[in-house]
Amino acid sequence: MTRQTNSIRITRLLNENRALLMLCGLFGVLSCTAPHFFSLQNAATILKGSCLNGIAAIGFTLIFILGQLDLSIGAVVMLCGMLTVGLQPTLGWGGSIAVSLLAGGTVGLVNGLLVVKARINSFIVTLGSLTIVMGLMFLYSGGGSKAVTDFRFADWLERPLLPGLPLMPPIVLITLVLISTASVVLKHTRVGRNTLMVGGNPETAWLAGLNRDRYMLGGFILCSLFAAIAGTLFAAGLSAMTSAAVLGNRTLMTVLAAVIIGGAMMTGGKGDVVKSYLAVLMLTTLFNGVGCFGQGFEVQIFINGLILAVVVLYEAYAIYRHDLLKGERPDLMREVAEGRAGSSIDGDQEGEMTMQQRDRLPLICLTIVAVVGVVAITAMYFHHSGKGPMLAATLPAQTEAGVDVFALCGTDGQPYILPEAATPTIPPRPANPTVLAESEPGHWWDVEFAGWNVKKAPMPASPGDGPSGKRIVLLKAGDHPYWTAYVNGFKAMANAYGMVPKIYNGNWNLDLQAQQTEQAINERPDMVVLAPVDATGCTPLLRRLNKAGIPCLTSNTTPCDEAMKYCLAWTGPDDWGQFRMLARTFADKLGKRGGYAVVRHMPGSSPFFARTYAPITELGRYAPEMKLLAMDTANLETEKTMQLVSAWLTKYGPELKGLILAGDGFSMTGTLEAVKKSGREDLIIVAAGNSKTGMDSVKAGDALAITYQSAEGDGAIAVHSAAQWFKGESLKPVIYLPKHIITGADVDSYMPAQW
Amino acid sequence: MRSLLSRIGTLGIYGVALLLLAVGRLVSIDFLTVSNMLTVLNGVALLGIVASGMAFVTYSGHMADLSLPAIMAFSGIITVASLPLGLGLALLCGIAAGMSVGGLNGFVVGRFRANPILWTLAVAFFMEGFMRFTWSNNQVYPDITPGSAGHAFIGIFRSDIGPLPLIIVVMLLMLGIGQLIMTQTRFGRESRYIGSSRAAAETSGIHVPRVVMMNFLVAAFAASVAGIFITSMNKLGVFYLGQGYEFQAVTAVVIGGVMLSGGRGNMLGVLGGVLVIGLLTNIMTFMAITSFRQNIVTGIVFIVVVGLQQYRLRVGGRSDQ
Repeated sequence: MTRQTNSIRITRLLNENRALLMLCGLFGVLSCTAPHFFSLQNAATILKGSCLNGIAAIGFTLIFILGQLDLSIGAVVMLCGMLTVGLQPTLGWGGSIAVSLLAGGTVGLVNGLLVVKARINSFIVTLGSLTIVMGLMFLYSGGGSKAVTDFRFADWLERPLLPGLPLMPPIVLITLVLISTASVVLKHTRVGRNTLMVGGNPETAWLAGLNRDRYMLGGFILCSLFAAIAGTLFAAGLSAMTSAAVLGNRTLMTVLAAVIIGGAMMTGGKGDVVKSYLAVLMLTTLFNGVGCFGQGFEVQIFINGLILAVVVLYEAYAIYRHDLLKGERPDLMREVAEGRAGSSIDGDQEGEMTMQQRDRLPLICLTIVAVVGVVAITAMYFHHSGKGPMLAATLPAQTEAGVDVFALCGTDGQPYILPEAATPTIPPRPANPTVLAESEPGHWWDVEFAGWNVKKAPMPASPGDGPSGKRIVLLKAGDHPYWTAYVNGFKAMANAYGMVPKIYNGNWNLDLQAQQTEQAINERPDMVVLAPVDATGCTPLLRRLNKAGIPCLTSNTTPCDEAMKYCLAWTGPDDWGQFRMLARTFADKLGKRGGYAVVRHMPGSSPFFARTYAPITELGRYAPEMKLLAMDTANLETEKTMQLVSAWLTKYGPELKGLILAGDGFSMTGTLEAVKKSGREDLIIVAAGNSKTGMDSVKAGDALAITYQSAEGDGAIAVHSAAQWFKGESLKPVIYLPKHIITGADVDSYMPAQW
Repeated sequence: MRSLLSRIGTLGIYGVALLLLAVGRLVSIDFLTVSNMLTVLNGVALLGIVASGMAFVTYSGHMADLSLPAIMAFSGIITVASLPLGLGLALLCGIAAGMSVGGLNGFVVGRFRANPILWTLAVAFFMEGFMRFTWSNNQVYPDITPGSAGHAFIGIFRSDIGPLPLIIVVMLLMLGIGQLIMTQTRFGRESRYIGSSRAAAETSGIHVPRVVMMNFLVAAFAASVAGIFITSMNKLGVFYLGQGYEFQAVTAVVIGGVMLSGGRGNMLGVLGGVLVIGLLTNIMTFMAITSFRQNIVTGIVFIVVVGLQQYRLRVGGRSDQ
């Protein structure tokens, strides 16, 4: 009997500390297996990386305790981060932080009032405020990013307080202080315990004379406030903020998962701030460790889902058992726990069977999930280790002497790279670009010609001993078929030069890419290629790499001028140049007359501006009679594009002669559907290329032209430039891929498509 | 009198729709044309299909199924991957794949009472990882040479029945049949009881786990159908198709008067909710309101409409809070 009671007690103890146990277990396993994982620097990276989610989790735990939900925290994080950085130049840090916290608190107040006074379900209220706050953030940022060039505050936040102890920079310390304060208040003060009672047992709380509405209102305000603090600290730590919505969405999802793993219950009354933080740490460790293996986001999200599933199942199972036994005598309950229930309660054989079957089901289910998980993970491990970067090191290193890199061709039969093109002529910079109108080319000078005239920070010197055997780390922006092709080109070129590639996947999330940059620094590779998630937000990342003395290149989307200071060079497609060429092809076909509209790229990306304003400014010069009727983003989604273009076609009718699309995938498909439905056959469509969908459309004559942007070449040229640098050659600050416009005349020579 | 009030209440969303039609007419003469109304319907058809399934989950008191986007993408990819078997079999495979995920959801939520939001979120994570891994983050293209099954497959989204596109017919059918199932069948009534009070439903002898399972299966079926349409529309299958539909569908369902707490509302309301969302987007595009501001307006309309519904219920003494 005693042993049985003990086992129940132990199970309970294990369950209550599951976040800590998972963290320790994961940390132990990864320390033994993952390369470059076990070090003080990496531990600091994990601690720093969990600040954003950790602080947001405090408020979220509180809302859970009250039995409510707040879906708007991700949006609040983004809005407040944006305000902090955006207002800093005018208000200073103190003022901008105060304003953004006030904004956060206001969102919470509105949420709370709607829940408490209007009695609307919090899920609905915060789903609505999520859209509203995101809209406000986009409106404030204009779909771009904001940054400050004064790094002193950021440096202070990141600098270790004691030399030699990298674990405790102020940003981590602030997080820990906030968490311990919240925890103490919740557990050891009257207000805190009342909060638990209001959430867990509203009737008792009412009988005890507690004002439920007041606690709820306070809870919502605090939840948004903590999200605001998280966003503010994040933005201040980077001195920049992105408007790519992924950051907010992932924050919400990670925090939600962490709070559940930490033991809070959606029904209210249960939750522990410290345990939530431990769960955040656990998830950050997981992402960090999986990254150490060079595995993609798919493995991380898979394991994350698995852990969450097991925890949710376990919770449900516990309640299920509890409900089964509700109302029974305690000694009977114990007997049930010992598996002798049926015989003592009821001699009926049938009853016993159902009881036992019912008991076994959840266990069977759990086992199945666990087995599937283990098998899947093992399969993934072997699958990837067969072709992944872990084995790349053991491949015989080819010397570049035997390989002519210019003869290497991609899957579309085109060479990866071409011998260097002539340096383009750069027009003089206008005195003050920002005072010019957006339709003037000069307004965009700093973006279009970023990096050409920048004064570089001190750069590490080339070893001059050639690329063979060098370790090169790619921090790619995220997963997309384009990026699969990019990585193929990257690896092929690295293989040709005998370099050892390793790839981190930022999943379009600036928070994740910042952590991965630190991981890359801890690994001390010979070269880092950063494909920025955000054009401005990458500045502090490059600065850190530069300070650590690691040579780095940026690739793919153009970073801002400030970022170019800290990297050897940028390689990638000349988005502005390509779209100027595309615009001229477009105008020629239309006889330089008529109205046109632009379907824009995703806000928060640099093509959002380049692929909108390059054609607009170019047409303003080249075909001034052409009129811009409308422009908007449809987030590169087919049905949104279809709705948008259909509405334009109805509104403008024959006035609309042509469309310029920022993408030739889903934007193209949606546009073509809308055009087909309208019965118009005279519309001229041009787009950024070159995916299979785009090339098929050009071949079928539905689209006039697309740009040639080789994804494989994009990856290859980064490695090629790195190799040149290792050889001691000097690099141009900006290295473009070849420019070309694909039309019906030559589309066949670019088939089959790379992606 | 009271039943009249409640009828007006359920269909109050159509008042909003009429108001939007009037506003649209003022904004542009081209607004109230057959072709533009078809545009509106076409734009929300996918949403309508997903919402017709989501409504059952919400109606039976399980708030939302956050794994519906993953189910959409999964059924689409499986359909494309099994096209060599022939179109009919491929569609069956796709729907079966999607429904198997729904079955798992229904089993766990129905049998063990796992929190539906959290469980389906976990499944969404899990499925995303699985699809990304299995297809290496790539897009899966069907072979669309004329005459092949792939060509017929991408024609699904592009075919018409009489004057209406197929997808609109399917949406109206699913919402219509959904209305019948919800109000006229035993399954619908049982779902309603479970949504109103799971404990009471259990006590009155309803086999709750089975009914909940059915609800999630219906939602997964609708999502699979939507997944086939969205894949056919895009001419390719990929893991991120359908992203965002979970919250959009909840929005449509809730605006349409199906209470998040369960047991109240009907499919006609959901149709109204879907129409309002479509009309709103269309009008704002006509008014040249950019998508950033559209976010704000949509959010405010959402909260106000749901707030009014709550207010009406409270005045009628039937608040559920």
